[in-house]
Order: sequence, then C-alpha cells, then structure tokens
Amino acid sequence: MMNAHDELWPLLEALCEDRISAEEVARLESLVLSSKEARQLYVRYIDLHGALYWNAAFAARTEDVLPTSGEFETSAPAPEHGLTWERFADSALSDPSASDEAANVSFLRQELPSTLTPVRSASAKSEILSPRRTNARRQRRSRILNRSLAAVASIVALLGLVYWNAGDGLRLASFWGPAHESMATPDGKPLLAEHTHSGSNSDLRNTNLAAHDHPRSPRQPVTLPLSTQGEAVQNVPPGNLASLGSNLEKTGTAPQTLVAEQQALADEAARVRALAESVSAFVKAPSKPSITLVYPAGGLSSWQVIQKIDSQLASTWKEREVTPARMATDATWHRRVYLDLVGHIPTAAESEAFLSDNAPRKRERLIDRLLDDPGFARNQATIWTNLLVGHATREEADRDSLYDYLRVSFAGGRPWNRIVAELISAKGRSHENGATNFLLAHLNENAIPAATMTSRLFLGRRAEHAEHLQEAFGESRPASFWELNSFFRQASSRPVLVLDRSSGKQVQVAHELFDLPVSGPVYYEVANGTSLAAFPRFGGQEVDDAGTTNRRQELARILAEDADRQLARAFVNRVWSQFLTLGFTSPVDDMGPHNLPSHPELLELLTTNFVREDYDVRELIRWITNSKPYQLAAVSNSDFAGSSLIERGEGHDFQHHLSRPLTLEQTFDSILVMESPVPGQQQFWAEAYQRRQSWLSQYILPVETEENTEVEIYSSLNESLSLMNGELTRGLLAAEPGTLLSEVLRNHPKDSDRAHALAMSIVSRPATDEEISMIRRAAVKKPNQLRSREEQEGATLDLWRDFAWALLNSSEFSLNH
Amino acid sequence: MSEAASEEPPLDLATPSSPDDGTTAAASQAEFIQLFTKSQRRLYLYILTQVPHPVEAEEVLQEANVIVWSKAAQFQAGTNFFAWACQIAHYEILKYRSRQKRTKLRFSDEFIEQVAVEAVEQADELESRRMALKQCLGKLRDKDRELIESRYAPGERGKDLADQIGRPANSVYQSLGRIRRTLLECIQRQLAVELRS
Repeated sequence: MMNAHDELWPLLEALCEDRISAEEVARLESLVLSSKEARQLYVRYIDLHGALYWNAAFAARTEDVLPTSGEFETSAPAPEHGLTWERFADSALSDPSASDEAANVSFLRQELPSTLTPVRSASAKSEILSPRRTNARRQRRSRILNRSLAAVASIVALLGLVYWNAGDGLRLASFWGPAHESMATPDGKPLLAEHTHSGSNSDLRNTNLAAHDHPRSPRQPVTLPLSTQGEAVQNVPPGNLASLGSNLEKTGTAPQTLVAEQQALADEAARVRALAESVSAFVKAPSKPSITLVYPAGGLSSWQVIQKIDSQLASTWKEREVTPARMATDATWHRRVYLDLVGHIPTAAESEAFLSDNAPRKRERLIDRLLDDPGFARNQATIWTNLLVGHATREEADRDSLYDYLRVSFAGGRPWNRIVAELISAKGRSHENGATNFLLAHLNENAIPAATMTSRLFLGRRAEHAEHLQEAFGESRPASFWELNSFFRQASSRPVLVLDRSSGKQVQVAHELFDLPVSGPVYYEVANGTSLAAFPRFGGQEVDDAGTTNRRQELARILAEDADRQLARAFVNRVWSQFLTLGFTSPVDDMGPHNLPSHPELLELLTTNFVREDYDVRELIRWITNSKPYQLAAVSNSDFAGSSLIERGEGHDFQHHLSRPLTLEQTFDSILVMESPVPGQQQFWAEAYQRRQSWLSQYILPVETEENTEVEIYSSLNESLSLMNGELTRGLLAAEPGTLLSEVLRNHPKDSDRAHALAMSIVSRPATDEEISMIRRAAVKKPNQLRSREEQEGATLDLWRDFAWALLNSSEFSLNH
Repeated sequence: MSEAASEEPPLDLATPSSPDDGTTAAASQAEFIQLFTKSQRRLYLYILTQVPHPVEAEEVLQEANVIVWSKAAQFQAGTNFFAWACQIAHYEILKYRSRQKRTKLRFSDEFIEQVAVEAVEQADELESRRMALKQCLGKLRDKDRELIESRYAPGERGKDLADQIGRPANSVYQSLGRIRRTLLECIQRQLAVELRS
C-alpha cells in the first residue's frame, strides 16, 4: 500500500512543512481524488502530523487518562426511537406468549402479502435476531465503558478542580476570548497573564449564555471572537449578564461535581487555548482579523426591526379597516416554518416536542435554530437554483455545481450583494466555479436571457416590458435593456474536456465562462427599421466601451454598490413573498412606476435595514418570520387564496396568512422525512438531492426562448393522484416493515395512538376527535362481517392505509398554510 | 412537561429545551462536558484533514467549539457525539473556506468533501493509530526521536530548527519526512500485530 504512492510522499511532506506550491497542491489534490488508497494515505499522514502536534502541545496531560475516548462515542448505541428491530424481535418473536399487543403486531406482519414481505421463516428469524444480539453486546460494552468513563471523568474533574484552584482561574476566559489578539505575540509566549479577571468572567458568562436559547432583547454591541453568524451570543441582554454571575454561584451550591465539571471544562479550554498560543510563533499568524460585531449608530436590533414591521402593519390595518386573523395554531405554524425555512415538514417527533414546549418565545427560538440548520442553506439554494437556471437547465450549465455554490454561500452567510456580484462576474469552468453557471445558462440568443434574468431576478424589473417605453418607441425592448445587455456581450463560453476525477478515465464535458475583448456598442433595431446603438450603461453609470474594460466586472461592481438600493429592495420583495405568499408588488419581479408597492413604508423599512445589515439574508428572514403577519392563521385551507390573488393581480394587507401549494421539492423532501423520521445527515440529503432531481425531471419541460422559460407539467401537482400513486408513496403506505404505515401499526396498538401518530407524521398535528371516532366506527363495523382472523387483519391494514392515504391527499398536506 | 421549562430562560445546561419524555432528552451538562472534552483531539484532527494547516485548523476548531457549545441543548443524549460535532465542524470548515477564498493554496470543495467522507470512515481506525503512535515514537532511534520532538515542540518551526542544529534546511525537511514515514509504517505494523493477537 505504501509503495504505490511515491509521488504522494514528497507532496505530503511539503504540505506538512508549509512549503508546498500552488502547483503541488493541485497535483496532490488530483492524486488524492483519483484513488481511495491515496485518500487513505492522505488522511493518515495528516492525522499523524496533527497527532504529533496536538500531543506535543499537551504532552502527558490527559493522554494517559483518557484511553477510551474514541471508542465510547462510536460504540454508543443509537437512540431507540421505538422503531428498532430489537423491539420487534423482543415482542413478536422471542416471546411466544406475548401480550395482545405483541401478538397483534406479529400477525399483522404475517398477513402481509408475500410479494412484498417474505413470510417469516427460520432464516428470516435468525436475521432478525442477530442484530439484537449484537446490540445487546454493544450495550453491555458501552455500559462498561460508561462506568469506566464515569470514573475517568471524575478524575479529570478532580484534576481540573485542583488545576483551577492552583492556576490563575482565567483559563476558560482564554478559550473564549478573542482568538487573535494573542496569536500575534511575536515571541509566542502564552498571554494568559495578560487577561484580566473581569474579562474572564464576562467571557465565561457568554459561554453559558451561548448555550441557551435566549429571549431576544434589544441588541447591545457585543464583541465576539467568532463569525458573523447570528448565534445566540449576540443577543446577550445586559441584565442577564449580571444575573448569570449569581447563577454560577448557584451551581456551586448544587452538587459539587458540577463545579468540578465546570472547572474540568476550564482546564480543557486552557488546553485548547494553550495550543493556539504555543503554535503562534512557529507559523505565521492567520490573516483573518477577529470580527467585531459592533452595530453602527442608528442600526436597529432584530427585535426593533420586528417591532417596527408589526406596528407599521397594525396602523395600515387600522387605516384600511381590516381585522387581522387570529394567530395560527402552534401545529400549523410549526409546519409552516419548517416548510419555509428548511423545505420540508417536521418529523412527528419534532412536532410533538414543539407542541409540548411551554417555555416562552418558542417560535423565536425555533426560528433561530432552523436558520442555523444546514437545511436552511439547502432550501435557499434550491429556491435560487430554480430561479437562476430553472428546473431543467441548458446543457451548458452545471446545475448541481450552481446549487453547491449557493448552498455554501447561504450557509456561510455571504451577503446577497456579493452573491449577485459573483454570479455576474464569475469566470472559469462550470464544475469548478459554481457561480459561472447562472450566465452559462443564459448566454444563448445574444445574451438576451442574461439581461432579462439579471433585471428580473436581481432588480425586480422587467426591463423588456417597460410599457411606457414600448409605446414611445414601438419596440418591445427599451434602450435601457440593450444597455444592460451590452454588459454581457464580452462573455463567452466554450466546452472543455475534463477528466472525471473519481474514475480518472472518463472524460466529461464542462463549460468554461470567459471574456473576449469585445469593444463598442450593441446595435438593435426598432420598429421602423432603424438601427440604434446601446453602450454599456447601467444605473446612471456608463463604463468605458473599450475592449480592455471587463464589462461584467463593472456591472457586478455597480450592482453590488447598489446606489439606489433597488438590488436590496427587489430581494426584500421576493423574500417577503417567499414567506407570505405575496410580495409588495405582484408579480414580485415587476416593480416600477407602473406597479407601485402595496406597503411602500414597510418595503423601505426592510430595505433600509437589510442594507444596513450588510445584505444579511438570514437576518432579513429572521425579521420576516418573527413578524406578526407570519404568525397569523390562514383564513381558508381549501382555497388557494394566494394563487387566486396573484391571478387577479390584487393586493393584500397580510391580515391573514395565504396558503399556497407545496413546491415539488417540498413535497418530495417531506415524503422523505416521513419515510425515515431521523434524517438530518448530510449524506442523507446529498443522496436525496440526486433522487429528487431525477424524480422532478419527469414533470418539467424546458422551452428554450429568449427568456429561457420552462413549463411545469403540473402546476398544482399535488392535486394529481399520479403523484400520490407513484413510487414515492409506496415507501409510506406499503405493508412491508419499515414503512411509515407498518411502523405506526407496529408501535401503537391503540386506535387513538395510531391515528395520532399518522396525523402527526403526515399533517404535523394531533388527530382530531372526529377522525378518531370515524376510524373507530369503521374498525368496529368491518371485523364482524369477516370470517377469519386473517381477513380481519387485512381489513385493519386497509383501514389505516385509507386513513393515511386520505391525509396525504388532503389539501392540508398539499398546502403550506 | 418539565417544570423548568415554564420558568425564565433556563440558565444551566442540564435543562433540556424540549420536555424530558425520555426520547428527546438533551444530554445532561455533565455528560455533555465529558463528551465535549474527550472529543477535542479527534475533532481537531478531523478538521485538520480538510484545513491542513495546524493553526488554521485550530481556528476552525475554536469556532466549531463555540457552536457545539451553544447548541448543547440540541444534542440528544445517547446519539453519537463525535458525528454530531463533525457535522458542525464541517459546516464551520465551509464557512472558514468561504472567508479564505483568496488564499493561494487551496483545495477544491470536491476535495474537501471526499476527504471529509474518508476521515469519517476511518475515524475509528485513526483513533487506534493514534494509540499506536505512542509506541512507535518509543521505537525510533534516539536521534530521530529527538529531531521529531523538537520539530513538534511548541513554538518550533522547521527552519529555525535547522539553524539551531546547524544543518541545511532541506536536509532537515528530508529527515523529518523520512521519520514520519517510518512512523506511519511502524503504526501499520503495530496495528497488524494487534489484529492478529
């Protein structure tokens, strides 16, 4: 194994000694990507390097005390969600004299059609039993480990206590303190002594506060050692800072071990911190400055912005004499916010937990959590990939690569104006630079689609339709459109062949986006046959039309500067509609003097603050989802209120929520969530994405035009039984084990519990009394007419399948309400 | 419904944010601290595979720690802490990378993804390798052990090391590379022996 990589060794050595060149990095990368063996070696080598490094920094401190650290975590049994094989085996197989409940389950299983489930046999039995044995072993082992770990932990805690008392008591502070001020020490000596006592205390409090969901209160300028992400730390209310000190003391009066643990942690923190310090001298300090979150004068806290939204809307309601609807129920709102923020319904367990949470501000806390969930970035990326290149993308563009670019951008909190600038000015290959794909998809037809899409998506303007100009010039597109278009005339694409890195052999076609030094204007014809010239000009700024100017870069700059805030305004309008179904204008991408916003002050309020928050997408969404209109109930579930309002082109005062159909992606992902109630792993969603794309492709028909539009075969697809009859719902309703239906039946012997579990999983609310009594009536009626026990069981299964089916096909499922 | 939940915002980690019905209980404070403490090195090494620069990896670790800590209430007792923390770390790595876009030496996203998968796959084996490393260090020739120890001594760096011992930098680098390779081979043998016994 070691000999196959002669080329890898020197590269790895150079990497570890920090003297690797850019070419060598590229070579290393392609080697590592080309084979599993190389990846193994890479990971092992780096791990050795890091282990030597880490161990040297804390030589002999805890190394010997914690020999089992690794094993424990990996062998800890997964939580039982009541759906494990073990329990089935326990109740149904190992104990023949099981209770009615177990018998119930086991015959149900026997009843399953043999085409779907193999009839239980000796071999099946052993298959079922074996995981149980393994698990029992594992559990025994982990119990032992738990015991030994507890012992170890108390030793660590004691050590920590001693260390804490003996030391200067400031070690935790050094952990949470700004990372970089001390990194810069030229002589590399630890700076612990320079920390003041008070500093350490406040940092310690931050630590504790950060661990909790806290009520939002007016944001104070807080200096943070970490990223710009809206973690709970930024909302530290000053009052609680003081109270926390006493809380720490309280913990002290509680079990002594807690104190010891606090200090064990402090010790550990010191360890981590010491590492940073000990190495600061031997590698140059990183260039990243520590980020300070100080709010500019005049800036509003999240809470203040939300208050303003609410009070503005309240006065509009008063003025226009409309009465706001009641608040949406927790169950409805919980489902709504999941669909809107992470793109799928909650699991039954998540809904249960939310409904029984009685602590204050639970909606706000949930929003904060979901905004930090990777699902948020996935969902935003899905929405914007669809907007930017459509469901069915032209072959020049690599849709997945764009999706990844957007996902990473939203996850990393990249400001919206920067994302736009990158999409406009991107260069390079489609598979390497995801941002290139927006333009790669729209350079056809003399880049007319590029100008159209830029104008619509980023500026909320339909440049091509400006009616007053149409009348004046008798041309479908005004000069401003061609001026925008001329920014894209240098952009070109060419196919390039790339080696598929995973196989190392296959050749794939990618596209490269680059610029040609085109100069001069674009010529276009008006109705009377005259040719007119349009020079690159946008937003009142004209750029040099020489070939040496990079026009796309110039456009990106002008857009990102956003002098008239239209970039921000258009985004606010669209995001508002994303959550409240309607934007301030309908349609959202047609703003202008001919289509004035319904709530101009509110739009400006959001726009101003969005700009002030540096185009922070999460923050904008935090405001909207916390605002009053988002909390309100929908007036009618059966009516596509939103859609019909859009069709009628009418405004809306947001006095009640407007329901809308789930998107195809939401439907698909929601069904996945029902199928396997503990998703959440990155791998799970990465695979889901691929499956979803191939599933979606059957519903979409691309039409290549000057606007690159496409047709969804089913506009309100969820009404279509073909969706629900398909392969998709088989995983939910089939009789074989592991499906939603069979798991619910297996785990819940009582009818009311079954109804409850199915309703919770599918429509995210408890079953109603009416539903339960309906099912009871149906269940009582049938068995009497049936002769054998077998038939009875079949009937039971059918009954519940019908119920689940009805829920899946209800508008309650198919709407986001 | 737990009583604590109706009070003011919970202030100690032991209070789960969701009701304690036994299935969705957050880890207790003690448990969490234990897991947190014990996984520091593993987490650091996981990050290092993707941010292959010790100090930068350290920076990411700190950021990940803050998030891990702030999300303590979301951690479900009994689930795999390391896997959970790795997810957070991976996300922090992506965030870190998007900030460091202009760095000259930079691996692609694909590389990061692949390596992350590999690192998770090998997680257990790597942990045994780290144990074996200890014995292998003991087996090194004295001269080699001294050299590698001084290379990784806090505050040391290859070039200064060369000056210090009066050897050309290149030859020091070569020796270091050779010693690391020896260590890797030794670890491999060590594991093979352990497997057999």
